[in-house]
Amino acid sequence: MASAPRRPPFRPLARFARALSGGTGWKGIAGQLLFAGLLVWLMSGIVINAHTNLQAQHIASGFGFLSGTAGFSVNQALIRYSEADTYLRVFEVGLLNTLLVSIIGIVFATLIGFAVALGRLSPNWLLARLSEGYVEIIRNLPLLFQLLFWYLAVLAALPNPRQSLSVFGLAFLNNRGFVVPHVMPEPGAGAFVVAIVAAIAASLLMAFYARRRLYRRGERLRVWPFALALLAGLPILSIVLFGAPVSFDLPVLRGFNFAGGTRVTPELVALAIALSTYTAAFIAEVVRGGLLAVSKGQMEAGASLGLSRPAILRLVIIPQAMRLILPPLTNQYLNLTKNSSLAVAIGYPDLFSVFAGTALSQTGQAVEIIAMTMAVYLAISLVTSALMNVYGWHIGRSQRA
Amino acid sequence: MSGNDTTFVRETLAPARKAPVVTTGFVGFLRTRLFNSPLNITLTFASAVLIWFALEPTIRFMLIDAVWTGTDRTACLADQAGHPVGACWPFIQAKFTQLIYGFYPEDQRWRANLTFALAALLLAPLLVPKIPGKTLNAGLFFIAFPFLAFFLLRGGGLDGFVFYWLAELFGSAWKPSLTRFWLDFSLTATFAMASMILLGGGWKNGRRAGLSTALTFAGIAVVIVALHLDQGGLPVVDTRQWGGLLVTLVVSITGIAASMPVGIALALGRTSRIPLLRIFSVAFIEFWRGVPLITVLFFATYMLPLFLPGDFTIDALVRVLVGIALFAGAYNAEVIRG
Repeated sequence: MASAPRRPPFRPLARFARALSGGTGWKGIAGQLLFAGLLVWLMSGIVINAHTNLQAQHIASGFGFLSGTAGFSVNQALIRYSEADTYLRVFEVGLLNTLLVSIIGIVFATLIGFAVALGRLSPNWLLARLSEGYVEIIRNLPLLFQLLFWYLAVLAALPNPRQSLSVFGLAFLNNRGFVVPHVMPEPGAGAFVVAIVAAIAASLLMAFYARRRLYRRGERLRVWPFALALLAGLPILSIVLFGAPVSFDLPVLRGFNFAGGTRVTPELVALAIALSTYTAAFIAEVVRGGLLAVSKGQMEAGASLGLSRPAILRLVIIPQAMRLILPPLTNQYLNLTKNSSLAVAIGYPDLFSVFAGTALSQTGQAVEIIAMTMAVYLAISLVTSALMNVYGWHIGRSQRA
Repeated sequence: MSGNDTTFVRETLAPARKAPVVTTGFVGFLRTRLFNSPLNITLTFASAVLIWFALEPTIRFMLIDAVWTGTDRTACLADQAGHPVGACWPFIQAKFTQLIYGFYPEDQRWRANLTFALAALLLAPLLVPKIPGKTLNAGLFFIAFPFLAFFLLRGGGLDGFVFYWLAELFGSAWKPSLTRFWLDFSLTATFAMASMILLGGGWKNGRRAGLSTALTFAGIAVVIVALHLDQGGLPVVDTRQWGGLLVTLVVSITGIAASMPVGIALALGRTSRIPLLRIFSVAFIEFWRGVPLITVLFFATYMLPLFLPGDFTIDALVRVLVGIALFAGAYNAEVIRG
């Protein structure tokens, strides 16, 4: 008769020691103590040196400088900002500008990247070569160079405001930037937003219900006409009942410059173009790799089930490819956000440029400012990495199941 | 029902079908890869238009509208050239040496050339698997060459050898002179040779190790004599005068070489079973990977000097190299681990 395996005796001290040493015995613990001692010695040396050096240079340490008046202007601020505002306000302005250009870059990089990836996989010879050439050229030139190219060679060479390139008479591109219509909210805006949200929520609910019914009873419900009607109808109804949600202030050429409209600075345009085209080349390779990594048999299996080609793509290929694409794609988004700090080269007022550039040279608080700037980028990276880990864990679980 | 009903047998020859569409050769290529469906035809034309819009201005700027000859900036003005001006090649010609060497003194440029010629000469055989003597080659490239490059590019000499530095560490260095330098050198060489023979297992087994140490020191002596390192060496060229491609190559080669050991150490630390080591490696890697390179460079320029003792100054180029080595090391660690 086989007896159940005896449970090991409960010895908390030994288990604790093993956990501490990672299973390498007392030698491991001694090594760790030595390592910790070395780290403490290094850190204390750094702190003491920094302290004496700062005292020798008569620089006050601490974050008190944040409430001081900045006294310099910033040429693009998403929140109200004037020269009389504090350094903390400068920090916020810079952070918002960084986030703005990152989001614009991410949207366009994703669109261009997916398009180029599909182009490279296309059976059309010319399109495939064109996409390949794009990827190879863009990936092999430094981003800083491309940024300066767009800013100095392309945007600065545009005509002056009087000879602007017109986009259907609505927006104008010239060497002072990109002038677009200014959007102004009207009284109907609230109702319009509510209508859109309600339409989206109702459509999602219908889709959810239809899917449940399909899985439970195998019946297919045709929901998309109703969803479309809701998505188009509710906003139109709100416009009819409550009036237009927004009005547009169109730019008009008056004298030597444009009156009305919103001017997007050439720095922002150059940075957005450079970041999105550069990252798009990397995204294209990530997407192409993901699509090619799904084995050909999956496609053939889908075909032998009688699925149509779009259905195979939607139900078989893309879900499997997405699993491979998403982690490196997120990595590229993070790279884009970090690369946006190169804005300092063309004077776009992002976090790094206004805070670690202008504010640092004005106050001399190098330790605090560099630490804050690094902390912001680090926080963005770590939060995204953590989310990706959760997603990876979720995927791993569903693959095991 | 008869058994020989042959109505299913064809009585006339089938009409000749049209020859199949050509799918080989140039015409076939056009048909199958460019113009095989309405969608593809549209894509082909769209691509052609895109290529035209990208290439036409480039060629116009670089070749057609470019100014090729001239002596000063007036040659590149539009009314002088008589047409809208694109690229101004005389400018590049005039500034070419600056793009390569920066402000490295003109009469000293042979040093930069020699350094990179040596690097290419040592690297090329390392990249061909068939060529023998890889250990010697790698040793020369990774250990001897960096020292040589330092003295060639920056210049300057040596006050003494190992014993001199040891004495300086204890604060009792002697006044440098030529005889003392060579005495120090030969003492160091003898000590190194003796210890190699001892560690190699006595005269019988350690002879070869001793011989190779002697040869190494002979090589070092040749370099010292050739560069006059014992008499002050080549004139010092401050790193602030370096520039252009020279700095690009120095930073990238040093960065690649220095980030490798950092990366290997961090990768081993991250996969280690020892908790403290693992936590430290993970934190270190994630920190450097989470911040942009430009903040790392600012960190190296503004904060590194603060962290060092007050009387200890560190060259600006070295600060950048430290920053790049740590940054690239963290990225390498993840590649090596994977």
